[in-house]
Amino acid sequence: MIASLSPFDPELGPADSVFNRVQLSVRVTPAKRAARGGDWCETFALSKDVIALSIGDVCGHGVEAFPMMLLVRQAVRDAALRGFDPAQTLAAANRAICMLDPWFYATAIFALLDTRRRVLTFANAGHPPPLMIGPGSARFLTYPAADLPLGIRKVSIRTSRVVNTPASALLVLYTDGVTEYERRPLLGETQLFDAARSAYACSAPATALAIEELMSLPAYNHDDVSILTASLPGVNLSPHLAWPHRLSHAARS
Amino acid sequence: MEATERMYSVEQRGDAVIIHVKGDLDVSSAPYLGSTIALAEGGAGTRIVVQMDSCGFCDSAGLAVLAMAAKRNGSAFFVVLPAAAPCRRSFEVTGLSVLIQIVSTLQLALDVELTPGSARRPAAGQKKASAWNSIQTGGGKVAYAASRRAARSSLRSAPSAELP
Repeated sequence: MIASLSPFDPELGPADSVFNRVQLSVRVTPAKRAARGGDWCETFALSKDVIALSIGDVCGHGVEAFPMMLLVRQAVRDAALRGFDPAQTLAAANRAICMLDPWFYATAIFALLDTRRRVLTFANAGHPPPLMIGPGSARFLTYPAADLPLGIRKVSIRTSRVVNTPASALLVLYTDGVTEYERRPLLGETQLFDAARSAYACSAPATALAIEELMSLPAYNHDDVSILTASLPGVNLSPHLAWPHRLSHAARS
Repeated sequence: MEATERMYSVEQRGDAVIIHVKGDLDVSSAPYLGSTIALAEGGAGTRIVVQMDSCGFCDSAGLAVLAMAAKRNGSAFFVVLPAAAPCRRSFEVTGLSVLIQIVSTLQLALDVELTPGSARRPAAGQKKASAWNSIQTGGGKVAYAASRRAARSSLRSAPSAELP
C-alpha cells in the first residue's frame, strides 16, 4: 500500500491520513497565492511498518521553482523505493541534481518512521531541523555538524540520525517560509515551538493546519510555506495523563 | 541599478575586491549581489570579500548566491561575518559554513595568504559544462567512447574482409 499525500494543488486543502495509528497531516501554501511552489512535502508507506516522510525546498519559490521541485522530489522517491536508508537516499538525490544542473541547490529532510519500534531515522541536507514534542519534552533535533544542501558538492558526507520517539510524540517538519516570514529566524523558531506545543497540548486533529493558524502567518506569504506533522499513538500508562479531569480533581482535594 | 547602489558598495583594496552588503539579503536583492560578484570576478582583483556586518537577514536565495560564488572561486572567496551577526545562524543550519570561508573581521580576510593556482576560476559568468550538456553535445567522455568504438569495429572488420 502506498499512501501518498502531496497536495501541491492547494485546492485539495490539507490532506490528512492515518497510517498504523500514526496521524499524518500536511499543509503546503505556495508563495504569493500561486497554485504551485518550490516546496514539497509528502508521506508514503514503504512497508507495513515504515512510513517515509519527505520534505524539501528548492532555491527560488513560486511557479518558476515548480519543475525543479518535481524533479528533486522524484529523485528522493526513486532512491527511497529502492530501499536506501535516509543518508543514501539524499546522497542519490544529490548525485542526480549535480548531474543535471551544477548551479542548482535544494534543502531537504528525508526520514523513515518505524511505527512499530517508534524509531525515527532521518538525514538532513541543510534544512531547518525537525521539531519533536513528547509528553515531557520538546526539542529541535539539531546536531553540531550540519550536512550540506543537495546540489552543492558531487560527493558529500551524509549522516543518518537515529532518534527514539516517545509514545504520543509529535514530529513537525517545516520549511524556512514558516520561520523566516518576519525575517528573524530565531523569533520564528520560538513562535513555531510555542505553536506546536499548543497544538500538541490540545491534540488538534489537523495538526499542520492548527500550527499554521496558531503561528498567525500573514495571508500573503512571500515564500512557500509547508508543514508536515506525524502524531504517534499514545500508551495509556497513567490515568492522570489520559483524563485531565482526574488531574484537576486531584489538585482540588 | 539604483537598488544595487543603495544596497551594495564595491571597493578595490590591493588585490581584493570588497563588496559591502547593507540591507537584507533576500529573494529580491540576491540577484543583484550575484551580478556584482560576477562583475568582480571579471575584474583585476584576485580575492573577493563580501562584507556582511550590517546585513540583518539572509534567506536561502542569498545563501545560494554565496554558495555558488564560493564554488566558483574556491579559497579566494571570503564572507566577513562577526560571531554575533544575526545571519550567522543561517550559515550554520545549512552547513554552508563548511563550504564558504567565513572570517570574523575584514582584516583577516585580507591577510590570508592565497596559495597560487587556487584563486583562478573558469572565465567569469561562464557555466561549467554539466554532464547533461556533454551528453547532448557529444563532448568529453562520450566522444572518446565513440572514437574507441569506431576504432574497435574497424579492427574487427578488417580481418573479416579478407576471409571470403
